Amino acid sequence: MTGPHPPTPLSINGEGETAHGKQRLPYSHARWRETGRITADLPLILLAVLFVLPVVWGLVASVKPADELQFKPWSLPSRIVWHNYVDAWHGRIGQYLLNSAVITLVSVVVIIALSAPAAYSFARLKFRGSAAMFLFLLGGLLIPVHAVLIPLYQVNEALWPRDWALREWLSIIGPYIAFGLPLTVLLLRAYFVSIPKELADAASIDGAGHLRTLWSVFLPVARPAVATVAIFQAAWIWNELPFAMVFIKTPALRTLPLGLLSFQGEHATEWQVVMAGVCTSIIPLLILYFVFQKHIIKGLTAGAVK
Amino acid sequence: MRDVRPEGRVSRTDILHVRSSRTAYFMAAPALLVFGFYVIYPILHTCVLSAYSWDAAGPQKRYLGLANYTALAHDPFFGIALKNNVLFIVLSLIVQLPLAFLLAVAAGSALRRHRAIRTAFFAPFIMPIVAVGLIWQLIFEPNFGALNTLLRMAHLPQFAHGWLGDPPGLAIWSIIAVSNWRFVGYHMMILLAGLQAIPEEFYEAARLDGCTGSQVFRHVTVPLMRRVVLVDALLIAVGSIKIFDLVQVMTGGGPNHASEVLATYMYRTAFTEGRMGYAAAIAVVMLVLTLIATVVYVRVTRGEEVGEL
Repeated sequence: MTGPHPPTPLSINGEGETAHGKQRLPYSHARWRETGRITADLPLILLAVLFVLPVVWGLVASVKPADELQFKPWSLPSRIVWHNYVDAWHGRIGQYLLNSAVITLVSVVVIIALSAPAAYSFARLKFRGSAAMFLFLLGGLLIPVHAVLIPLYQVNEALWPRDWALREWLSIIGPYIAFGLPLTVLLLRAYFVSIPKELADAASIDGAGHLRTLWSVFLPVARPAVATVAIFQAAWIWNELPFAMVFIKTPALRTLPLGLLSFQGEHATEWQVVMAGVCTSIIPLLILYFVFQKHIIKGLTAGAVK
Repeated sequence: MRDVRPEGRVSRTDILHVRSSRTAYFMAAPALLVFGFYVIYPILHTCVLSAYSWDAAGPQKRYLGLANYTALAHDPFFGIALKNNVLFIVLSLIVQLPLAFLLAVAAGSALRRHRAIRTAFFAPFIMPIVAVGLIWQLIFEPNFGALNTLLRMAHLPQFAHGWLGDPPGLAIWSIIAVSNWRFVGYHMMILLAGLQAIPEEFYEAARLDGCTGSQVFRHVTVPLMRRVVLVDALLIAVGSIKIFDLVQVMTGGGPNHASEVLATYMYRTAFTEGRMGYAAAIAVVMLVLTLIATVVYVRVTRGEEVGEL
């Protein structure tokens, strides 16, 4: 059972792409180097600690008794006050989380549903004016949302009947979808172009139409790209504030960012409860991050590195 | 069954071509229509509105021509907002770009081995931005906030300030500091992805040619990273022009407009004061600034293998 090679660093840090097929050094040598490196990394480690310190401080503040937060901001809590979280939950944080989850899910699904056929069309079909149309869409990548707020305010007033309970959600989901389209079409198109022509031709010889080919050949193959771009859009929509501030007036319909903001207004003097609300909003994201780390990093940086 | 159709005068490829171009329109149309309706049309409408005086309370609009823009030129609050945005762009570029590059390059290998470090730098970016703003608001709180308490504990009470408004000019600097803290990890990740895209053979070839570490850096890493760095610089600049959430959460543009940026001023003018035409003019200024940043980027990268952004 004794292999000729020592356990590779790959299995230690779980990274799959560090090797580049290079020769490994003997174990003792590697360990010596490792120690040297950790010393060299020390400033970096200190900086990293400094970076997470504010978050950790906020986390500690969220379980402190009110007077300790006021008078001993840097001390550890003498007792853990979970009740801050109960108060935060009664302040509708749970409702806001749910609202944001629904809005994000609906928007992302529609973004993909609209973008995939368009990306397929731009990648494979090339109609007259398609290059111009594609550029037209790309122009949307850098547009500040403030440039559309006022006209969209009028559009939404006219579009959705006043007695519809969900008109405020419909008012923000529309722009969320529209602003999500450019990057999604761009990334899916780039992926579709890289799919071998033979694969698509095989499908059309079997008599499949374009929509069918898209659904049963392209989308399954492009699943990593779809996941990447879905994560990017979800993160954006989850965090979006200006549209929500303009279009959502009903307290029960607030998204999480808007809810947190109003929450602070309602609990102005109870910072420990505000911090509990803040941490409640962070924790689901941190869990998601640790589960899907690789996809998330790829998804969030996708826009820049193509 | 088109596969068994005999070859006629109209060739089969012709039919397929016509059909496929019709399908092409049909498949692209929904996305283009939604985009046109929610993005392009409103942008044009904003430009038109900026030539009018229009109070949100009433339906009547009055044509002003360029009067909104001349008013902006004399508006001290607009001046502050513009100056703050410029400060935001400059400080974000000179802090985030080098720091992110340093973290990505010098620490690239270390980050690879200590995943926790990479996560630590990235963590501020994955947190909801309102949550970030609220945590820092408490840290900056003058009386029992973490920062001032720490300074007093370190016997440096003279450095304790009202970070978000006393003196008023300090607020924007504090917000920019938080913004740098939040985004540097994101840009580190972008540059790291760029570094990892450089084929290993390039480094090996350079080493075989006897290049030292710093030579490899100068002749391999820097030229190959140029495009990614420029794209990243564009992202930072455009992000700084659009900046809204952090300012809105931490100070709301106050005290007395001291930390106002274009986006918060536009929002306040439109949806608090109801001066829609004037606010539209501010939005157009933001649009023009974004356009300028993009044009600068295109000019700098022109003639290079750019690919599609």
